Parts: sequence; C-alpha cells; structure tokens
Amino acid sequence: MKKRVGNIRLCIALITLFLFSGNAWASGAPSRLVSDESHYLPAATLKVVENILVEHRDLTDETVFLEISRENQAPEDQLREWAQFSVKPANTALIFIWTEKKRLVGVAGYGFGSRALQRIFSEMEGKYFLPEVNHDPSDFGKTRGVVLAIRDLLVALESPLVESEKLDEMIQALPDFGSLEPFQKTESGPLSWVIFCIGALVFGLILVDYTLSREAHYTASGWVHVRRFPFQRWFRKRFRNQGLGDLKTGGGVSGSW
Amino acid sequence: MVPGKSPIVKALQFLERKTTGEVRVHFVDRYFETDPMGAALDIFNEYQMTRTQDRNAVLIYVNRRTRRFAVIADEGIHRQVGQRYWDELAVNFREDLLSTYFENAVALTIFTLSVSLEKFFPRERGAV
Repeated sequence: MKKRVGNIRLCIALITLFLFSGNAWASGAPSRLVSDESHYLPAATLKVVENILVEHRDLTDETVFLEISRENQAPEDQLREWAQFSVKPANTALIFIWTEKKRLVGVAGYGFGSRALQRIFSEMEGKYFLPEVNHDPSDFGKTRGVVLAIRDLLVALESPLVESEKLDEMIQALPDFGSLEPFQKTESGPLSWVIFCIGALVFGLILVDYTLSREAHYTASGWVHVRRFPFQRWFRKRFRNQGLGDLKTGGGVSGSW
Repeated sequence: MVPGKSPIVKALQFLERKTTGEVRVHFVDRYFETDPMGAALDIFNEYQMTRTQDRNAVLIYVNRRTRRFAVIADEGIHRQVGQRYWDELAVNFREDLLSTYFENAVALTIFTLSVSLEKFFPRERGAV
C-alpha cells in the first residue's frame, strides 16, 4: 500500500514538475535555441548565433530563441497561436523570422519590460533585418540582417557579452561579415540636389515662358491668335519628322532693334 | 479670323489688291528664343507659304520680347530682287521699329514690299 501511495506521489510530482517547469513549451515551440527548418541561414551563421544565445543564457539566465520558418501563415496569427498554447516563462524572448513574408517578429516573457522590448523588436525588423535583406537577398544579406538584429536585442538587454565585447568578436568571426553598422541607403549628395534644382528652375522658366507666350498671325483676311503647346515645335521636329526637310526659300534677313 | 482694323491687315489687303504676291506677318511674345530665322522658317513651312504659284510669298516674323525680327522670301521674289534688297529692307525696318509703333513699322514695310511685288508680280486688272 505504501509503495502504491509512493508511486502515486511520484507521478503527481513528475506531472507537477512537467507542468510548472520553466521550459514547458507546447507543441510547435522551438526545442533548441536556434531552429531553421527552411535552411534560410548558412550553417556557419546558425552555429555562431546559437553560440551567442547559449553564452547569453549561461551568463544571464535570459533565454532568447530564434525560429526561422517558411510557414505560409500571417506572422501575427502564428505568434498569437504560439503565445496561446505556450507557457511563456519569465526572461524568455522569442524571435520569429518568416522567410516567405520577410518578417521578423518578437515576443517577450513577462520578466522583460515587454513594452520596451516590443519597440526593440520593431526596430530590429525595420532598422536591421529588412534593409539588409532587401539590399542583398543572398546569404550574406540574410546573415547580416539576422545577426545585427540579434546583436541589437542583446545590446538592449544589456548582455554581458556586449560589455565584454565578446559579442562583437563572435560576430566578426563570421567570414566577411563587414561593418556592424546597418545598411543605409546612400543619401543624395548636395551636388545632385543643386543640379536637380537648377534643372527644375530652367524647366519651370521655359514652361512659364511658353505658358505666357503669345503668337498672332496676320494675313489679308485678318489676324488670329495662335495657341501652341509647350515645346510643340521641338516635338514636331523630333518625333513627327515634320522638320523643315528640303524646304527651299529664296532669301532672308534677320535683325534686331 | 478676327476681323480687325489693324494697320497691318489694312496694308496686307492693300498689297493683295496690287499684286499676286503673298505677305504674312507673324508676331510672337517669347523670351527664350535664340534663332528668329529658324523660327521664321518653321512658320513659313507651317503655313505652306511655298505653295504660291509664282513662289512669291514673304513672311515678316517679329519677336517683341527679344526685339528681334526676320524676313523670309520665297524663291520667286528673291530671284527678282536679290539679297541686297532684303538687307536694305531690314535696315529700314529696324529704323521704323525704333521710330514708331511696331504695327506702323510693319505696315510701312508691307507697303515697301507691295511696291516691289507689284513691279514683278502685278495683279491683272479685274482679277480678285
């Protein structure tokens, strides 16, 4: 009898342990820190990212998951579903990347300041992930987009890896990673603006001149106003091939007063 | 057509009664025009002024904004009067433009032209 009660107690203890353990993730939740079923990132990158996240977890007890998926489902819907069936332990953040939709979405456990982190998540997508991936859709751009986004998150979480500069060392270990600054579109230089403004001014002046210009044609029958579209003569010459051609006149003279 | 009592129209009507030659006047008000001669040739071509029977059409082109003018003459009349005639006409036209209203200056030039055209291309009596 005592043995039976002991077994029951053991079962209850195991069930309780399972239900209330911090890692009790429902089905669909990533079992590893980094999951890339769609082979979106190169293996070397995945390895580095996993090392970074493992080291961060070991140092801080904060767990950051990265899941890369090709699911043809709206990211928000899948996130909602995931959040519904998953127990979100404190100090856990999840980063989802939907490769088909080029989306990076994050969700954070209650241990984090969720609002502040939500801003970081949106910044990760808009400032790091999308610019890099849109600029260079190859493995290089994807690697940069994901790694820089995770770096930004760890900076926001004040990871010891950032302070010790080990994070940057681990990132720079990736071959040809390049700068840690995100890709930014090159701003048009002042010279191009000056040229554009001068061009616009000249065009505007010509347009105003043509708009305000008037013509009158006199014959013995009377006179008429002639209305012309801007650049009519020029268009006629260029595109309608109605130039002077073989027009032969006798003589002529021009002058001014 | 606007029936006008412009001195230019009157001068043109006078000219047409005297001669078979055709004279047209084209005014423009346009700042950006560097080549009045090219513009005048365009107008000459646009109004198909080479289609006169004796090739005796003349176009007076005046840009009042740039204060430049051009006179284009067809082969028939040019063959009769020669280039020197046009050069002298331009000098007189310039003086007229400086000394009187431009409409009067143009009308005076048309009267000058009518004399030459009447001499070489007179309209037969009774013909309209």
